[in-house]
Amino acid sequence: MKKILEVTDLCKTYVINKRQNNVLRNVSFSINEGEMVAVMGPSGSGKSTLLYTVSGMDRMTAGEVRFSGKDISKLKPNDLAELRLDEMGFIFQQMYMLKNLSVMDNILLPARQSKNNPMTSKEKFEYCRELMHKLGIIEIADNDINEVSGGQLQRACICRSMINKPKVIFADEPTGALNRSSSDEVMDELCKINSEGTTIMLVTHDAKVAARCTRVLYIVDGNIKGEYNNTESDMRKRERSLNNWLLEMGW
Amino acid sequence: MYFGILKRDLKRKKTMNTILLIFMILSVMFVSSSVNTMLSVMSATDRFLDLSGAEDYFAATIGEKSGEDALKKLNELDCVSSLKSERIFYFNENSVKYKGKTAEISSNGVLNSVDDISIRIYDTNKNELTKVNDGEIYVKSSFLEKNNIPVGAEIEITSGGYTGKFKVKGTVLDVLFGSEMMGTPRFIISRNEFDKFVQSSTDEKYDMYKGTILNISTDDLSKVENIVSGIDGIAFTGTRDVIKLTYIMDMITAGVFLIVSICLIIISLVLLKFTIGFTISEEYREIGVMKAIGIRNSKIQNLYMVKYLAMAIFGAVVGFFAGIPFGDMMKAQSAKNIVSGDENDIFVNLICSAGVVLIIALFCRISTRKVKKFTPVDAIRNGESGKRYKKKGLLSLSKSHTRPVFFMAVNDILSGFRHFAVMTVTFVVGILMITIIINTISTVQSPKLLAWFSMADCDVALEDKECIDKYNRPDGQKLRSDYLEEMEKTLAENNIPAECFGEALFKLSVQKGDKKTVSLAFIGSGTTTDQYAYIDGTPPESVDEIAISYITADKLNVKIGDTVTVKTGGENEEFIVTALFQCMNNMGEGIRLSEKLPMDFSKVLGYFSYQIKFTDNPSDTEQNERYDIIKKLYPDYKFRTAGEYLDYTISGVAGAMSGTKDFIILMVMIINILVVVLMEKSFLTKERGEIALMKAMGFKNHTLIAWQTIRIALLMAAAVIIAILLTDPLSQLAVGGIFRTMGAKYIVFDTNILDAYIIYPLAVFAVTVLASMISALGLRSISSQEVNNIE
Repeated sequence: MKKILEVTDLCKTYVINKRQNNVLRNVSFSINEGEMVAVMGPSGSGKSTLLYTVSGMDRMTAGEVRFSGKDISKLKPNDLAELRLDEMGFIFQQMYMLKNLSVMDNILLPARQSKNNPMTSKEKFEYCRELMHKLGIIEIADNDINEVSGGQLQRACICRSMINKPKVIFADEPTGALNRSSSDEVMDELCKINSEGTTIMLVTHDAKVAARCTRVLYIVDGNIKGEYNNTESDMRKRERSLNNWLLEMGW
Repeated sequence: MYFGILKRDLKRKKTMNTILLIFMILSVMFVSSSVNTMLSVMSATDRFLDLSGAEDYFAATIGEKSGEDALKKLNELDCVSSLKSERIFYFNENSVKYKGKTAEISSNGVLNSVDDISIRIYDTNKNELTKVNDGEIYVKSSFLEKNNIPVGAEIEITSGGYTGKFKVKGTVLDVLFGSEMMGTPRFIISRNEFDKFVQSSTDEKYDMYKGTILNISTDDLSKVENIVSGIDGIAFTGTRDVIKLTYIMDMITAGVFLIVSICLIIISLVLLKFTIGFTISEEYREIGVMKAIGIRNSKIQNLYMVKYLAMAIFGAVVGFFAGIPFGDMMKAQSAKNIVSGDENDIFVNLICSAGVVLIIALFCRISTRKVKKFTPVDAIRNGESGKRYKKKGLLSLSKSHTRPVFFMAVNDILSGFRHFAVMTVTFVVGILMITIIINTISTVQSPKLLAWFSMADCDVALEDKECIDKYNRPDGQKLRSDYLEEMEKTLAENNIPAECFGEALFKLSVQKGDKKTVSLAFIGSGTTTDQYAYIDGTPPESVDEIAISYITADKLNVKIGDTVTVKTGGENEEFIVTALFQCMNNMGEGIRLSEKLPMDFSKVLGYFSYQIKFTDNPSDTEQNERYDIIKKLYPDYKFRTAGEYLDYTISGVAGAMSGTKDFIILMVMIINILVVVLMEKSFLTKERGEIALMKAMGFKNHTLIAWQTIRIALLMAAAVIIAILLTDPLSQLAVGGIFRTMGAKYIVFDTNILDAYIIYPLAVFAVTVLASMISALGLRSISSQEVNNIE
């Protein structure tokens, strides 16, 4: 299978008050097209930093990240922005949206901004409606973001991440601010998207969420300590097996 | 605790606080200095009148007999407690030569002997001028400035039958003829030199050069006015208040600064409201926590009050001290024609500074009421109290065909207009200051204003400085008409179809019942009365009809249809009032008689330039070609277009305003830059999370900078439109008063579309948008990871 993301010896160091803080230390891994990979680890282990660095939202200190074969460390800020707009999608723990736009406009915005999206404005609009329909939020299309529930808003965020048909969706604790039922609904949607061919890399604290991914990377002190492949088809067995592995990892 | 909070806050919001402080300093500085200047000039004018020994009423006569007659009649009056007179010798506009060339003087002047003068006059060192040596002369300062004549230079004056050469010894501070508005210059010479003019002008034809100024002290002004108006050959009359009023133009700079300072105070208050609102909404957590632990609203309000009050006090102290030299500078300009004493009343500056602090404190108290809205729950729920908000997005991107950044800019403004109101108000006020001053300058230079100066519309004005010599004779009316006809023919021969005409001015006594006044009378040569502008009624058609200015009409209690008695050359004649008009000559007092009425032109007071009106609506190019032809045909006359003629006539107003125009434009640009920097800083703080989110989604820096800049550009464009719509009504309010003081009632401002509505607003627009763009560059430092700061 083709590799969509190749990370080699990735390092990220912050300097705070003249003291170096090595958040990521020579991290190497790769993600294949169509995979759904979860990154787990204790608080402060570098999970979110890893996600932001490999997605080009943050600059790496050393190493190499290849996205679809392109070395993102060599890209200029504008090219990186274009890459994020056209080929990546983002979902955050908090359902961040622009306050002055309706739910639908928030979803549509990246599509309208993209110059590489071949669809016409009308097609983009239709596609936006299709996505919202698919995720069951079409009825809140014209609502203000203050008028909808957290679960609906996170689904809207998923729609937004999907609007430019990205190659990879990066999700930072996508269910972190949701209750269990909303969390399950969101994961159902992400799994559906993944089954349709979109690669997903997500950061989570929730073993139940991680259990739905095909692979789990466990990170401790900026290093990948272990990697777990979910081979079980039964979800319960899969969760149990992952929990056992996580216990071995020191979770 | 308060000090600690203040210190921390000042450190945290450096730029915002600095800009707010600058506005406070400027407000205090301008308001204290301009109020002080205006009060000083007003009190100094009073003081100057007292110091000079100016009494209650002044009158100037033409001709020896007229002066004697006036003295005799006034001496008989019981109500006149003191009557001083001084001999004067008139000279024409073309009488003064410097280096062989005729010097520029806006109207006829008077010569006085230093020993005869009835009031005290002063040199520039504010010492009373009591002695002038033979061969020396003291002149009005604006005469030297206008003609670039240095002190010590030699000038030549020809008047009556004598030509004298004088060395300019200095300038004179003269309460009667010293103001900018008083066109007549008075030159002071020795008695010996003065007598030479008188003795060389014994021929009767020189009688009109001799005159008398009467300085009258009375307790019954109306009685004196009545007597004076019955005397033939009155050239000028004015009460002490009228003399005081002529100094209004000297205060124009201070007046403009007062308007600027009021605008600055408004802007400061609006900015203050925004800053307080912004700070409070930013600190909802602290406020919520303080409330949760039981601190009362008033205590929390005091925390913010302390900060802004401290800033206001600091601003007031700096502004107070900066206002002193600034006020002195303004006063040096405004009171240059006045012997001012120590009118620099620091107390006024103190009161103004304290007043500004008080206004700011009150405003702070009102603005900090927002504190009451926050509850402890806000601290817990990130500012969301659980209430549903009213729908924010008013537009829909899906229905819009514009670029997303443009859509977002428009949508942001429409969704939260209150956030942008501060900028809009500031921009509107700034543009208004510019448009009002440009349109005022344009109005005073516009040919349309000819009608307000009792002149018919024309294209060209030719000034013949020898008019008085040529036409001041009993048959002058015919001579002048014939000459104007000849001029028309000459122009026609040169393929210039045109009408030629001109105005002769008299001072005539007008009476209705027991009410009398001496009014300026206009009689046209080569015109018909329907060529002039009237505000009511129909133009006088027959010789027994008259149009009267509304100020004269008010004075005499006359309305259309009434009959008034006018003393036309010794004879009392009755005229029916058929129309009312407005004029800015002679403080609004005037009458217009039919051109058919035969008049003795030996009594003419003066003439306006010959006027030429092209009758075939030539193009601009053709007009310019004709101007060249006319200049060649009449090389001895001073050529001016209608606009140039007006500019020359009231150069005091246009000049004073033009000087402040550039300053105001600069001020507006600086204000806009400061406001934009402040607002943009607050937007970047408030929208940090949203910017980060957009960056995370893949928006480039330049796109986001464009988004921020377009918002300001749209607001600026809206402000320009609003300001344009408000310009006329506010011009009437702000500047109309000056014109009304001069005698105009119905003021139609001339709109300089190119300058007022295009060039200068565009320049301010460009500077403002550029400032916004530069300020928005700050968003480059926001990282996409800061998306987590979104609230």
